Amino acid sequence: MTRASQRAGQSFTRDPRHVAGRRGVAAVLSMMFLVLFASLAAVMAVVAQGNVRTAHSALRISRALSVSESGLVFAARRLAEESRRFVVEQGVIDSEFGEKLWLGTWTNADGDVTVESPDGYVVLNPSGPGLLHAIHDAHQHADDYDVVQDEGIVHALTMDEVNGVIVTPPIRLGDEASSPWFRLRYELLADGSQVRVTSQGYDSGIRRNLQIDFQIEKKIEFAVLGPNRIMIGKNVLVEGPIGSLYGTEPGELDPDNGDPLVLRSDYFDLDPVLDSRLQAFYDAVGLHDVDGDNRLRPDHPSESSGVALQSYFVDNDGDEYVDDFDLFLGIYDADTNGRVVYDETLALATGNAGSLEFDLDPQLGPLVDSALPDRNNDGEVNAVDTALGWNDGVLDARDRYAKARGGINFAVEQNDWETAHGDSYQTLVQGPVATDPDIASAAFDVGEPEMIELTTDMFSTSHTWFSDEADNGTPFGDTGSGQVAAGIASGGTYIAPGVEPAESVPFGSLGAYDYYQRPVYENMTFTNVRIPKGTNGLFRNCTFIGVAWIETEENCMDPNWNYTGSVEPDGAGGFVDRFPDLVSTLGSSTLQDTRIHSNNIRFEDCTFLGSLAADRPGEYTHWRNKIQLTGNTRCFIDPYDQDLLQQPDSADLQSALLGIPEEDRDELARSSILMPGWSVDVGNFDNDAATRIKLSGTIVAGIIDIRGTADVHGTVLMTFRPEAGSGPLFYGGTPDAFNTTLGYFGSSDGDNEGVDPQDPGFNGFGEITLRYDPDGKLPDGIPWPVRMFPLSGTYVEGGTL
Amino acid sequence: MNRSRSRQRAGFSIPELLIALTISVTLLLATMFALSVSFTAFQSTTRSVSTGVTGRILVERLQTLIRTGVDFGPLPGSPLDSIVSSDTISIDMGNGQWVTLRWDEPTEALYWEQNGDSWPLLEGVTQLPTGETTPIAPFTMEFKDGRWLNRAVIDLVVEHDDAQDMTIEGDRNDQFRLIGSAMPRVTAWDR
Repeated sequence: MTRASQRAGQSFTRDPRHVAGRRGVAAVLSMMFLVLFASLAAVMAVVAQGNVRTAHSALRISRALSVSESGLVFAARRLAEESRRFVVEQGVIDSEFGEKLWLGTWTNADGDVTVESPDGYVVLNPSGPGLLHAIHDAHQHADDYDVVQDEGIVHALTMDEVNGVIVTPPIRLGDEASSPWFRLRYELLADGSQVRVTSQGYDSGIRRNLQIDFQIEKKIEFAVLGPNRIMIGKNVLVEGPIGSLYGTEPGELDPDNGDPLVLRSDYFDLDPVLDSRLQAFYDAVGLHDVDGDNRLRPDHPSESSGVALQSYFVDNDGDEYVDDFDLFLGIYDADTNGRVVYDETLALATGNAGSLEFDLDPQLGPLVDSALPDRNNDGEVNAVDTALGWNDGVLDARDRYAKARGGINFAVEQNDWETAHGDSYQTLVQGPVATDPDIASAAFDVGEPEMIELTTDMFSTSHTWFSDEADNGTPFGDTGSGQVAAGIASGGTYIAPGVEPAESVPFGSLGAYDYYQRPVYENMTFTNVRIPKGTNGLFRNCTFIGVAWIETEENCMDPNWNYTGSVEPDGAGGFVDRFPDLVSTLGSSTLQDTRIHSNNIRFEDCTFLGSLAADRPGEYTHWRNKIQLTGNTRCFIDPYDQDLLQQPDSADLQSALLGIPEEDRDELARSSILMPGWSVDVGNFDNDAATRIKLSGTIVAGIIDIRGTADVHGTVLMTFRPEAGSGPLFYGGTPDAFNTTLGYFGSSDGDNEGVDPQDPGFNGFGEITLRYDPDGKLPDGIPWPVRMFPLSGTYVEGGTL
Repeated sequence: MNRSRSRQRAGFSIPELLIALTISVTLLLATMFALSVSFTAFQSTTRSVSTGVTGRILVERLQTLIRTGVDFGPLPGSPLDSIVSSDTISIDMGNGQWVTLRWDEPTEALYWEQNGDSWPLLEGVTQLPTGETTPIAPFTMEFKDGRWLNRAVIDLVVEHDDAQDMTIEGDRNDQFRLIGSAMPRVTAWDR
């Protein structure tokens, strides 16, 4: 053995303690590394798990927020559906009435409040009469969701009738026990007309609360609504929903002319080629338009089939629709730049220089170009809006042209109408209809509570304030007394009947049905005045401050009332009785002439700093109870109205308005014309472009015709529903003979009253805008459902249940 | 004599001792280095996670501000434009108070500015995504009619603290892309 091997051999035979010592060093080192790397691995795992947990928490937070938002949307729908069951007469839901509605504590002094039955569910024992109770009962009876434990606690549906608070149990989104849920709290605010909804969303231990307030209010969201035929002609733009109640009664869908709505394209009657293209386009729309907006989308799977029918169906303005404006561009856009210059000077001044391309209709260009003045909705009309296309001298996509903006609602069923008409309704309803994405362009079979038919009787209480206000003024008087005498003393003029030639009714119409020898009141100012029945006057260049109340005999139900005393030309410069054998009865009296018990008045170039209101005739008698607003009619109630400030006599107008107490101005602003059951003609048959008529607020009439140049900012409501065999149809005729006509119709369309553009007497197409005012206030007395809508600016993330 | 010779034989020889010491020192040094690297890596990871959590919370907060704000800026230069990409976003909180969030390129930080005061909200905001040579805008806003915010997109490129980086990691760039978008509820609920 070598020494080394001997040592090696010795090493195997050494003391075991020495061997153990060497092995111990390796074990310690190994353990050290093991512990170190194990610790590091554990730390890494903890960190990684923390990251995952953080991500999971973020996910739950996000889901809790989303479910909370779902709760708000749920509440919004519930409030909307339940609130519309409450039909009220009061025009404005103020704090006091709002609280009463919510708590169900209204009295007879608050006017009629009708609560309709719930829709889609049954409540055998309502918890109470108020909105609060309706919401509570809906949660209790309309919903069917499982009991959900909130971390072991079961919450019940609770209602605090004293403070007006409802708190719901959890409402789960999903079938799993672990699915997220939300709870809702409805709470009447101190304001009384607002309700705060708090929604708590819950997901796996995470809660997120959101709040938003809802306003209780009453709005008639229509630019025009009526139970008779509505005809909206060329050069008329409607900014707001249209509602037609016509066509549901027997005989109303007369095949000859019984269409609930006629909407005529603004681009007819300009060019024969364009006319033929428009006709072809609306044939295509009738076949291929799937959403009723009277436009065709080139990229739509089925509407594109309509676009392919003609090579000139091209989206010339690039707005992804083909409509009649594109066809107009196809004819008049000479340089094919997507815009048509109608005013070279204005176009140059606004940076849109180009050669004149369209001057055939001097009113159509400004009408389209001036629509939607506040293009960016910032409350101001300025250069920014011009940059967005307003009033810039050119017509292009920036003008966002739409014939009707806000949707069209029909009470009639589409099939009934089209069967009677024998063709698509879109051969009659023409022009693009623009709406928000969640609103239908055309809706049929629309009934209450979305559309309620208004009648003259419903306005019994709405008149009270206006009548009382008129009573506060000095009597109308005559040349020796009252406001007429004062007007004469101040430089006004009175001209007795018969001095001026008799005028036809309607004024300027080729189809006059009666003639009046009117007394003339000129250059006078009337303040809170009652115009006596039988005045039948012509007010020329007069100013009416406050309420101008027109008296008439309300008991005018005799079928002859309309015609008794009517005259017609005798061919020799005079007049003879038109119906010499007709008489009317009033109580026990027999009348040979109903004019002295009625009022047929024309206002020429008059200014109204307040409202026109009148007695309510018991029957629609348009020959006898009629007002006509002609010439440069001006209506103002806001002393700081921008249009008012641009008037040459703005200082006088503003001073007069500021002289009316603010609370009275607030009442007057609710309606510039409150004449249920009357025939109201606004504008001129001769279309004087320089005389623009401006009306605002809720305009109520039996039937209203608006012609010429007019701007209506508010809601036009009609009350007269023609019925065969009664009223003005007692001696025959069909309901379709009575219609609301807005704007121009040619001699061969509409109701054949218009003048053909080729006629020497043609004075243009006119220019009319009807603009719904979402901020407008309603007069009392109109039964209409309340609504609760969210106040977007009150959205808050936080709050407690 | 025999006893003392026997004790000498029982000990380590000098070469054995030297070898053992060398091995031990090497192992200890390796252990120390491994420990150091491990702790630094732990710190780096922790910092990275912290930056991620902070960034995520910040984006949540910014989204909340956008959801609850009632007016926003900067507006497009032309009302016909709808998209604005900017280093700042100004938010009207609804109580008349405006808050501006501003990314400052030189300091690579996101600042909160209100009532004339300014303080950093998040540092290490480079806005230089991998492969990009020019910073991207942290805020992209989509306006309607050149006036009303329809949606805002937040896009933050954040790197954690360089001091915690290691040579051993090479030039790897641990950055976060924090993206979120929100629609103001004043727009969503405006019917």
